[in-house]
Amino acid sequence: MSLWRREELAIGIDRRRLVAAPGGAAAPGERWEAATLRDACVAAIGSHRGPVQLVLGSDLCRHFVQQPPAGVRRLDELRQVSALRATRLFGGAAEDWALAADWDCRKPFVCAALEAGLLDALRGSVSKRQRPLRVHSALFLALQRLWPQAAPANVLAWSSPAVTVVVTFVDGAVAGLRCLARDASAAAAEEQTCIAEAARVEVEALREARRMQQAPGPVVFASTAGARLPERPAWRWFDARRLLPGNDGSEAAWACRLAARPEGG
Amino acid sequence: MKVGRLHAVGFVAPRAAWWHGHREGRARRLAAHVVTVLAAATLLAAAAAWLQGGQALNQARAAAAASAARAVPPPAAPPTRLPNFTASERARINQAIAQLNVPWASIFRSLEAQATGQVAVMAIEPDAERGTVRVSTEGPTLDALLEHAERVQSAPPFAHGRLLSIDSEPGAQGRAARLTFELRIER
Repeated sequence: MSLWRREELAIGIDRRRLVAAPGGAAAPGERWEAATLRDACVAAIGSHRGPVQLVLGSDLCRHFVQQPPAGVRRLDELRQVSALRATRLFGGAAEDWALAADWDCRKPFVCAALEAGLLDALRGSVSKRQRPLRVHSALFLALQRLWPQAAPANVLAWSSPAVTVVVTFVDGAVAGLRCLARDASAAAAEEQTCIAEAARVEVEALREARRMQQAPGPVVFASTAGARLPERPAWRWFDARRLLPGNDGSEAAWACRLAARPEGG
Repeated sequence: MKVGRLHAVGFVAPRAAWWHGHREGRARRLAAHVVTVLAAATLLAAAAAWLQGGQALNQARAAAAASAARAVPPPAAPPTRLPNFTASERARINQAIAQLNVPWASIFRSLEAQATGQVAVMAIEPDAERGTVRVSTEGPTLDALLEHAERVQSAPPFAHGRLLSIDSEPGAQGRAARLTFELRIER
């Protein structure tokens, strides 16, 4: 281990579970509350002194695509508009949601929303120890790793234990994002599961194309099944096992493995 | 179709976001560090150059002041060697200078101012060495000549006059007298 770089502790958190990289885990029951989440994080961090990365599963973190209104030029205006859209989509008040996005006034961008109370609890779990903290959405991390594959396709799709994500591109920018809930009990590596997932993706891609009033384009499906999957017209199976972890286990474990895995390896 | 880059952005601003920016990435942090180091090095180099320039200026001023204090006076001009003149040469030179200094203009103005129809000025002879002018006049009556001589001697640039000769023999053209007097010129 380098004297100058400290190992980063990765912790995956989904709606019902917390998984830390060395093997720790915690489960609150039905869903997290701020206090229980903070205590679980503190316990998971333990005596670790280095940086901490918290990765939130797609069932805990909400996502949507924000189209910047014409005339918006300032970041605070963009944040306000996005917060209002989050309240319209997920309920509550604007101050109830914490947002993270690669803000852009010129083209649509993906926005992640997390309950502000949970974010405060996550911050509170490390503030006393003053160590660097990163809080990411697992969907964001996966999209960033799969982003180079988006060039030849209009639709990019992949699966995690909790959701199947379908991202639609128009003119080089994200135009649509759909998170389809998955049946966690289904065996992830089975070929039938992958084919079923692909079918759902295809239907969703067609629906998005109709919504955007454009012709359905080629689809790139990032698969971690490892099985030999059947060829389909206008489809490309992409072996993403080097980029994404397998879908066995919980969403929290998947997020934890995703954060712990270096990019490209 | 080419899509742009997707930057990793979290819910919590990264440490030193005011320096590195809010987009995460090791390359971005490294670039921020490199830019900061280069900027600091540039500032230090500029400060060092400014200090050096100031020191050089002070040194130059001190050197100029020291050299001015040690300034050697300019060498004295060599004494002028006068040519050796004999006494007679010296006398002739002085005489010539005196001749050149005769105030002819004021003498003529004075004589013209005192001129009358009864008196004719026949000769004017300056003696520069003695500072006098000998004037010879002719006229029908001796009284007129004497009167004219008295007026001339009392007018500038003359100080006083001295009668030298009177000739009252009747001339060929009916003139009664000729008078010669000497006037001293005021210096």
